[in-house]
Order: sequence, then structure tokens, then C-alpha cells
Amino acid sequence: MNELAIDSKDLTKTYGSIRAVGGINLSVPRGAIYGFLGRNGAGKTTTIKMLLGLTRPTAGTAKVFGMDVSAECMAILRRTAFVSEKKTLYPSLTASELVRFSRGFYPTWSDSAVEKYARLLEIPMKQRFEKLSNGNQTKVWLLLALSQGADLLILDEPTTALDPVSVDQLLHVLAEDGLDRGCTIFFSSHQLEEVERIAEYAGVIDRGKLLLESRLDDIKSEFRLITAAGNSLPTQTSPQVLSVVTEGNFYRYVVTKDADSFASGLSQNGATITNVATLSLREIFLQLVRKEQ
Amino acid sequence: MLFHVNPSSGVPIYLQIETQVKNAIAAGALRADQALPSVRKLAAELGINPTTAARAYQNLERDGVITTIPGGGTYVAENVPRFLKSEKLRRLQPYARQIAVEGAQLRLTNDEILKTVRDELDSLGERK
Amino acid sequence: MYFWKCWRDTRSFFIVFLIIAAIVMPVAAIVCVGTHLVEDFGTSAFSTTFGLILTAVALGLGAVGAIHEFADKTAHFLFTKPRSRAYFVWAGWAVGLAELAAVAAVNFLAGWATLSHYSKNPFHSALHGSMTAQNFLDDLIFCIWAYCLTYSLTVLLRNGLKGLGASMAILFGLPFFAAAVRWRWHIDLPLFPGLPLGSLPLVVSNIIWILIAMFFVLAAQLVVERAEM
Repeated sequence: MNELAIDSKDLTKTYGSIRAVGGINLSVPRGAIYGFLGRNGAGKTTTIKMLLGLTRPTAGTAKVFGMDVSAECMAILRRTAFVSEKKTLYPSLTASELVRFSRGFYPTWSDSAVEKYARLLEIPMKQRFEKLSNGNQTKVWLLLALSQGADLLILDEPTTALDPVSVDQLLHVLAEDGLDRGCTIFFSSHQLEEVERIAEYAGVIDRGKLLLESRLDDIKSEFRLITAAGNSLPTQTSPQVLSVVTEGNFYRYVVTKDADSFASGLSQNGATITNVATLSLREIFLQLVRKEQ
Repeated sequence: MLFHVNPSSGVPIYLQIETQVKNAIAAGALRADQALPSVRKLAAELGINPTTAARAYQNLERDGVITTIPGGGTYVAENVPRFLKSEKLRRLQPYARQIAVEGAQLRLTNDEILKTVRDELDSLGERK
Repeated sequence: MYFWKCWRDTRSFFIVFLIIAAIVMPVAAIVCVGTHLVEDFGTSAFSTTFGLILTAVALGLGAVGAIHEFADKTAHFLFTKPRSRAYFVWAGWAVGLAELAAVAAVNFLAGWATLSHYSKNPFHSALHGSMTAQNFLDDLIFCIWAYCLTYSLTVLLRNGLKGLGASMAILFGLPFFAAAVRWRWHIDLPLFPGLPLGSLPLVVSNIIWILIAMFFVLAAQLVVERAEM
């Protein structure tokens, strides 16, 4: 029995000479909430499109619930709900009609979920889609996805158009839904604070490459900002030392793991450790992304 | 139960919760046998992933700080965790180091530093 | 539910033309009788209106029925539903075809009723009998063919107006092209359904035309299946 909801190996997408996604190895455990982080144009949407059969991979493989995305697309789509980055839907249909349209495709559809989320997210159900605000259009997409009874929710930038109150409502809903139904939630975002609140796992993608993938708690436990004072301290970057900044006798290191032993090493070479600090996800993300440049 | 977490802090959320529960117990705000909110309720209040809340509770239970009755809820444990003295002292050490470093930087005398610590302990004793 | 949505998309267009199809013959009859143009009224008027209305409907439905997925940028919604893309292409096609058939049927019945009424009148009795089933069948096959062509072009070009334009360009341009070919190379190109292919009997020709029409839609299906969103 496959433990991974999403499992990709060297997943690659090339458009002519442009490598949108290059050799991504995703591992999303079942039942987890996974935040897929990256800047605009990093390859988040392209990766998602490959998982859903909207685009064919140029190389590599991807499996959703153990099913290959190229060979068993229909079976995957039956169990997967999707919110697209482009929140467009049929302009002349109302939310109620869109519900009616979607319901027929999924035996696992839940009408009680429709009622519950329409109320919770305060969605106008009788207005034509084209007349809804961006925020409400996003909410309709979310309503359709949440009511589907899917085992996997793939949400591409679900909060971009939402106001802070709606974001809050949505994050609550996602956290609870994940717990109640045990579904896996894979959502992409460049809003790091939201990811920090509910994601258990985080994957950072930049320029088509997966720079980091780990439990969020572990990332936060492992990454440290070490400030030391001394003479001629090491300034080499490495897999462990992400960056070094110096100013006079001060050295500031961003360390990705084993911070204690690194600090001890510095001390043994005569340095004084003035501070060892934790890093927020935003700081970690910026360090990772800048390093690649 | 007024807990607060900062998801953007470098400290993992579960750890923040554990620390606050321990602080609350140490300060007397939570007493032995007092009920704690369920995992789901705590997660809902704080707006976090219930798995994170569950992890905090698991760790607290492992450390003997709280106990869970199956189907009955979560409560502050009756006894102080039965750690070895050496383990307890080891846990305190990082905090002591911080006090020492801070005090030294401020150029306070050892007596002044120790007095400050004693005063804190006294005020805790009063609240209990 | 997808059929319902296709119906919703084409509903207005369909109903308007259904009404036109129902009333054009009676209205024309009343007008002609009133202005004593009765010699020109009869089967030629009937088959002309039948052909015109149906061609308009065929082209219109072909464009309107197919545009929404690509023109409205809802491909990423529809194609992540657990149904094959072929299903969506053919379902949309089927709805349009059913509507085309409905308009054809209504127009035919309205014309028939009109002529039956007027055939009591001695002016029409001579003309009434020369109307053949073959005329209508040819018209119908031509319109199905035009519908399939327009539908496929709209799907391929991802735009209703472009699909309509391309289809009309082919329909109106083909005779000229064929005339040029005949003049230059003395080859008779097959034109449209209704005209026999070479020396084949008409029935076989029409069957081949229908198969060609199906092929248009199949081509659209294959392109959609390979498309990247």
C-alpha cells in the first residue's frame, strides 16, 4: 500500500529551450497538509498541471496514490479535487448551477458540504459567475473542490484573491477538513505565513528545482542563524552552511543542520558565539532562493 | 485557555504550545487535574493544523506534564515529572547560560544577578 | 450534466431559430397569397427556406456549441473532470446535432402543413407533387456536413468567430476553387453533399459525405486529446 499521495521522480517539463520544471522529486505523504512554496514563475503551476494530466511531462514520472499520471489519469481525477491558478469558470452560470454541473461527475459528492461551506465562506450562490468579485470567484472554486469528497486536494494559489478574513476562514476549513476526512491537501502559495500556520510539510521550488522538502517543524528546528565574533573564521558555503555574511570581525552564518556542532567548531577555533537564532519560514525561503542566484 | 502562537516565529508551533503550557503550570495558572481543551478545539482556537496541536499534547504527555484519559479528555498531571535530578539540571542549563551572559554584558555583579533570580522564584511561590 | 450545460450554451440560439423555422413558411405563404405571387410559392420556397435556415443553424450551432471550453478559458476546469476529452467533444457535438435535427423537423412540418393547407387551392396542386424527399435529404446531409465542419474548426481554432469564418470561407470558396480547377486542369472536384461523387450512386456518395463529416469531428477530438493546457 503506497504511503505517498504524490510521488514524483525526476519530473521534468521543457518548453522548447526553457526548462520550466527540472527533475523534481516530490514526496507528499497521505493525509498530510503540504505547502508548495515558490515565487511566481518558479514552476509550481507547471508541476501541478503535470500531476493532473493537463500537461504531459517531458521526462520523469509522477504517481498519485500509486497511479501513474500518464497512464491512469481518469482514475486519479476521480479522487482529486483541483483549484486552478486561473480562477475562471463558465461566465453565465451561477454558483448553484456550477454545483449542479459538478455534482454529476463525482459519486462522492456531498450536498451537506456544499451547504456548510457556502455558509462558512459566505458565497453568493445565485449570482452569475462573471459578476462575482475575484475573491468570490476563488471561493466558488474552493466550494466545488471541498464538496467533492476527494482524497486529494490540489490547490494552486487558493488564497491570492482572498481578503484576510476569508483566508482565515479557509485555513480553518482546510485544517479541519484534513483532520475529519483524512484527505491530503497539497497547496501552492507564495504567502508564507499561511503555509506556516497549517502546513506540516513544505517543499520549496525555485527555477524549476526543488530546493528543499521536509517537515516544517524540522526545517524550523534545524535551520539556525549563528552570529559569531572572531578572526579569520571560515567563509565557505556548503550544503550545511547556506550563506556567510561578514562585517569587520562579525560573521553571520545561516546553517541548515547540526547548528550545535557547527557552533562548537567555531568556538574551538577561538570564535565567540554571540547569538544563535531561529529563522522564520520567510527568512529561510529568502536565504534558499537567494543562494541559487 | 489563552494560548497564543506565532506561526512565523522560528520556533516550531508545537514547541511554542508546550512551552506555554509548562509556563502556565509553573506560574500556577494551570493547576493539577485541571482540564485542557481538546486537540481539535485548541487547533480551532489557534487557527493551526490539528496535527500540530496533537504533537504538542503528545510531547507533553510523554514528558509527564499532562495526562489523557481515553474518551475522557486531557488534564494537567498530578505530579511533577519524575526526572532524574541530573536531567532536570541539564534542562535548566540553557536558561541559566542566558541569564549569565546577559548579566555579564550588563556588568552586573554575581550577587545582583542571583538576587534577581531569587526574587522571581519568590514571586512564583507567592502565586501558588 | 454536461449535456445540460451544452444545452444552456446553445439554448437561446436554438429557440430563436426554432421559432423562425416554425413561422417562416406560414408567414411567407400568407404574404405571397396576399400579394398574388402564388406562382412562385410552393416547393421552391419551401426547399429554399429549409436550406437557408438549416445552413444558418448548422453554422451557428457549430460555432456556438464548441466555443466555450477554449474561448472561456475553462479547459483547466473541464479537463480535470473524470471524463475523457473525447467525451466532451462528442457530447457537445451531439447536443448541436439534436438541435439541428429539431429545427429541421419543425421547419419541415411547418412547411408541409402550410403547403397541405394551400394545396386545397388549385394554384398549388401542380407544384405540390414535385417536391421530393431526395431534396430534403440532400439539404439535411449538407447541413450536417457543414455543422460538423464548423464545430471542428471552432474546436481547433479555439474561437467561435474564427471557426465560423473559416467554415464560411470554405463553403463559399470551394465552388470557386473547384471552378478554377476545372478550368485549368479539367478535373471535377467533389463539392458538397448532395452532389454525387464521380459516378457513384447518390446514396453511396451521401454516405461518404457523412463519413467525411464524422472525420472532421474525430480530427477535432484527436487534437483536443493531445492539446496541452
